[in-house]
Order: sequence, then structure tokens, then C-alpha cells
Amino acid sequence: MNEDKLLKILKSFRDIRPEAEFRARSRSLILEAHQHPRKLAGIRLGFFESLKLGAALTLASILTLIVFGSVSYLKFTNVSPAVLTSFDPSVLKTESTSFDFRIQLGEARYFDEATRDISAILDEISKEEEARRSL
Amino acid sequence: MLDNENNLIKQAQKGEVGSFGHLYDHYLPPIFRYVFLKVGNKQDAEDLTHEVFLSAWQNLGDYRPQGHPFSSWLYQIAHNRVIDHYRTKKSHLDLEMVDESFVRLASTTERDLDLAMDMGKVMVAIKKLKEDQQDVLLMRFVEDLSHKEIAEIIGKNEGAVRLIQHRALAELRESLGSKEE
Repeated sequence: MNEDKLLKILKSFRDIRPEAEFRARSRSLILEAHQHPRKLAGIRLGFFESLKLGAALTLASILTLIVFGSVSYLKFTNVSPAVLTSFDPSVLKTESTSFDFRIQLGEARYFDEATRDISAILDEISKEEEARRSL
Repeated sequence: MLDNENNLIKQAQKGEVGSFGHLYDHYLPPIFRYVFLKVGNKQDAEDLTHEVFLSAWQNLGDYRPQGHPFSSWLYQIAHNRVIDHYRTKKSHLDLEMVDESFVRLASTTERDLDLAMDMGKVMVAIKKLKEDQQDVLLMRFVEDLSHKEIAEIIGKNEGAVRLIQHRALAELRESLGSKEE
């Protein structure tokens, strides 16, 4: 097919048209539909909406602070004297030093016992060696 | 372009239904034709065309002339809508067959049936081309749009559009020529 004939056929497509019934029905439905608000109006609306959101978030933050603050206050006022004294620095220092001493004693006892066990084992080994040599 | 088109658009943007009605009446045939030749099926073409104009009416507030004709904006909506249609369409078009509604519509032009059949053959051959080639051929030779307008609609530059047109015509001639042999 040569190009002239091809272009003529393509131009013939211009005569294709929608049916009248579809046209009437579609037109009617579309013109009854609402338009979406313009973006400019949308931005204005968004600005006020964001103000409302900001106010709501601020109020929520304040309420949260009040709630946590109340809980913390109640916790401190309701603690027992025993717990409070445990925070005394001089008491803490005494406890820590005695704790260190207890650790050192414990370590010494461990080393002492370990040494005795090791020397017992070495004695056993040397006795076995002597017995083998005598054979 | 319609006479007094800019004024009609402004009125329609203010919600003037009659003004948009004039725009609808003027642009419905070319938009329907473009969509129909792309999807090859009358029912789908009617549905998609309706969606194009509904979207245009509802979002008319977003249209800004700025050197872009209203027709280009409509074609852009139609172009995008057809792409979405291809993405969601589950069934595949039979590329060897032309929908009977096509032949019926082509025949109602009061031309002889031979021409309608030729149109059918060309339609089948066009459907085998790449999407951008189809778009350029239909917009250029059926809808008589300029290369500049076509470039805006399909998102390419004018040089690319001319190249696509050249290759599309060559492939179409080869495809139809081999069938005739």
C-alpha cells in the first residue's frame, strides 16, 4: 500500500463519531456532577485545617505533660522512708566499701581452695610417676 | 479551537454548566475517536471518553492556559486514561481481529464497505505498532494536531515526534504491503 492511499485511509477515520444516544446520556451525567474545589481554595482550607490540627496537638501535649507530671509527683510522695534513706550518699558509700571487702574475701577464699586442689592433684601425679619408675 | 473558547473556559471554571456543555459538544468527537482507535472497542471507548470529560469538568479549576491549548489538556487526560485502561484490562485484544463495532462505525460514514474493510486492515496494522507510534499517527493524521501539540501530550520533544512519525509510517507501509502480497 503506498503512502498516499495510507494517508487517505487515515484521514477517513475522521468520520468516526460517537453515537447520539451515548452523547446525550454522557453529557447529562457530566453536567449534573459537582466540580472539585479549585486548588487555591483548597490551600486556604488546608491552612485553617492545619491550624486546627496544630491546636489539637498542642493541647494533647499539654495534657500528656500534666498526666506524667502528676504520676511522677505521686510516685515521689508515696515512697517509703526506707527507700528514701537508701539514697543517702554516706550510707551508699558504706555499703559499697563493705561490698568490695566481701568481694575480696570471697576471691581470696576461692584462690585458697583452688590452690589446695591443685597441689593435691600434683601430689597424685608425682606418686604415680614414682610408681612407674620403680616398675 | 472554538470561537471565544477562553471565555467559555473561564465561565465553565466558575461553574457555568452551559459553557462546559459547548466545550463538550465541540471536543467529544475527536476525543472519542482517539480513544476508540486506541482501544478498538466501542463500549470501552464510550466509558473512557465519559471518564475523560467527567475528569475535565470536575478538575477544570486546575487548568491554566499558559500557552497550552485546552484541546491538548483534554488529549493528555485521554492519553493517560487509555494507559490506565491497558494496565487494568485483564483480557488481551486480539490483534488480528477488528471489533465489529469498528466496522459498523466506519460504515456509517456513508462510504462503501470496501473502504470500511481497508480501514479495518489499517486499524489492525496500527494496533501492532508501539504505543507512541500509534499516538503520533492518530494525532497527526486523524486529528490533525501539530508536532508541537503532540509532543506536549505524549511528553516528548518535537524532534522525537517527527522521528516516531517517520518510523511509524514506514512500519505501517511494510506491514500492509506484506499483507497485500
